[in-house]
Amino acid sequence: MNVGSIENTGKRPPGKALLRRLVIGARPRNTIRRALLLAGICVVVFRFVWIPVWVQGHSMAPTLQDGAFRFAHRLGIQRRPPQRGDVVVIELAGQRAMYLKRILAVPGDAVQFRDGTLWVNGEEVPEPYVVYDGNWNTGLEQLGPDEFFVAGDNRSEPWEWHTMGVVDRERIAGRVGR
Amino acid sequence: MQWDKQRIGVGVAVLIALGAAWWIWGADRDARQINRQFDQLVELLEKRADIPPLRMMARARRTTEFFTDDAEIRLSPLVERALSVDEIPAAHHLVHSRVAQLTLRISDRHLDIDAERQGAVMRVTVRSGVRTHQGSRENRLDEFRVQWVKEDGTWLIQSAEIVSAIRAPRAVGD
Repeated sequence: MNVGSIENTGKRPPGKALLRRLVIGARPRNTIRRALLLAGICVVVFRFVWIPVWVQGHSMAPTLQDGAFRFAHRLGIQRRPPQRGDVVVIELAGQRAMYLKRILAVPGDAVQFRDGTLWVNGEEVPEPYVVYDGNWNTGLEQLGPDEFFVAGDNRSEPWEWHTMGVVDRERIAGRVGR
Repeated sequence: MQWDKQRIGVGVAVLIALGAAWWIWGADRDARQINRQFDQLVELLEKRADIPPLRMMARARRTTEFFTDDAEIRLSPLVERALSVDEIPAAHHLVHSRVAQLTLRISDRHLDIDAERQGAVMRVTVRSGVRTHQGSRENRLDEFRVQWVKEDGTWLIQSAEIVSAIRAPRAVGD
């Protein structure tokens, strides 16, 4: 009676073997080494060089919309100090959630808003990135040696509701790429 | 000689295991208790859905258990003056009755426990989201500095304050 037979040839089905080779590689030990190295590089790069930034909120609209994704260059801010017009990330207790603002004035500047217009050191400063303008009026702020003045590009709500003002240099964690 | 090497190896392994156990269950016990206390407080402060008024009041009263009797809470610019512990339940009840939903998410947390292990300072970033009964939403991002003290083996909050990473400018005429 032929009941059929199962022959063990020692070979895996070709599909499974190909998948295994693609995922694990011919030499699993080397693959693990490469994966660990890649993970290490990612940790170093994304923690100390490029900080991934996922925009939440409308404070920087329309330059950076809610949901936009960018990288903030951490080393760049060490090499070149923050300058007027830079978009930067500002640390709170860490780097998981940070403020995203534009630098409007640098150390030593005297800055204020008059009827929605930015004035720095007594001169009116054009702001082409502001589309949603407002009627902000603030007192004159004289910045200290390590102080910067920051605000979002969206000025449509009263300044008292908007997180803006003076920030210390040590809080600025990186410059956001365009 | 071979047996001695094995014995030394086992001894070193036991020492390492004891060190790891002390680190995990001994040295870090304070940090774990503080973090657990803080998480419980955050859960009480949140409002995920409407709850009966009596339960809301009970939750509001429970929040005081996490603070010392003389604790101070400074929430400027949201609330101008410092709140005492006795005022926490009323403030909790007021906020919860005015909003439909209040969510709090901890994004970053740093804890420094002093050498005597009787005091600690926690820095946290809190993302708060509010939905009003009318349906409008508002989100905030704040850094808090929370000071803890150990009283009779229990970690309690002595002070909590909002740290302004960005200081608002002066108003006109100030």
